[in-house]
Amino acid sequence: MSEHKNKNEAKGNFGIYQITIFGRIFKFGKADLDRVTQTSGFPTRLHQQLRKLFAVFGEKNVDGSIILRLLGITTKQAKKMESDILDGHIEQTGEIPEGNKKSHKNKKK
Amino acid sequence: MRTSLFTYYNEPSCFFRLSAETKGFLMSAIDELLEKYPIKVKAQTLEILLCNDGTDRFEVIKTSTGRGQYLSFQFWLPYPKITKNKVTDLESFTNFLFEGLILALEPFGIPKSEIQKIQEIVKNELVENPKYVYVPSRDELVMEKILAEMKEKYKDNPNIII
Repeated sequence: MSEHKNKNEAKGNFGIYQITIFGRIFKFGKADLDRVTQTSGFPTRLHQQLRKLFAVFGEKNVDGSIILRLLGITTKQAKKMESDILDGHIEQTGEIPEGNKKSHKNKKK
Repeated sequence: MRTSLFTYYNEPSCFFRLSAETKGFLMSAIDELLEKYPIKVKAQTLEILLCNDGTDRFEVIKTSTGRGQYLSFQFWLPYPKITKNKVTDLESFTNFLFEGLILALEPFGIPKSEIQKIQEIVKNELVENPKYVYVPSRDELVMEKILAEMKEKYKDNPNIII
């Protein structure tokens, strides 16, 4: 298992993912692609998040996908890319995805 | 046992475009099969993760998750054989999905011929039926635009794959 990449300077491989529910963006997030479930090979936390959403909204209505793969970059750069995607979405739609509302509010404080 | 069929794509831009109606119909078809041929395992849910890595990889991998609650499989389906110009061909998709189901379920005693019977029913229902056509949502179209702009912006950076 790889090290945590909580420090901004830590380098690694990241993915920016999106979760859609009923075709609407529910959340953008950053996944550490070096921390995957051994058996499935998928980002651990993302799989867990998806299962919780299936229970509420039904599997057929939920999709998860990696939209950007970032190789050998710092946590800080990955956060910036995640933020750019989120800001682009807000600019185009005028809406903050439900799953990003809390973190977006904290960021703006 | 119930079926949980879901999608997770870990290769940017390589998504199977499947409507909720298509996924719902597939799950109920597999549920019918499991009702007729119950699998004797502790798990209550047959979990099928549909994925691809953008290549011709076709593989079914049995995984163990959820402390035995789930009988889980990953179906790696060949993206270029199923998708043309970003449109998912439902006939080809159904063929590979059911090839995967044979690999996954035959070892549990479900006859191949029964799985193939369901495959024909599914194909007759899904293929060229407007009810199951995938229509991108507003958010999906917005994301396509944002990602196209980012692709152009970072086209010279090999560490950013969009």
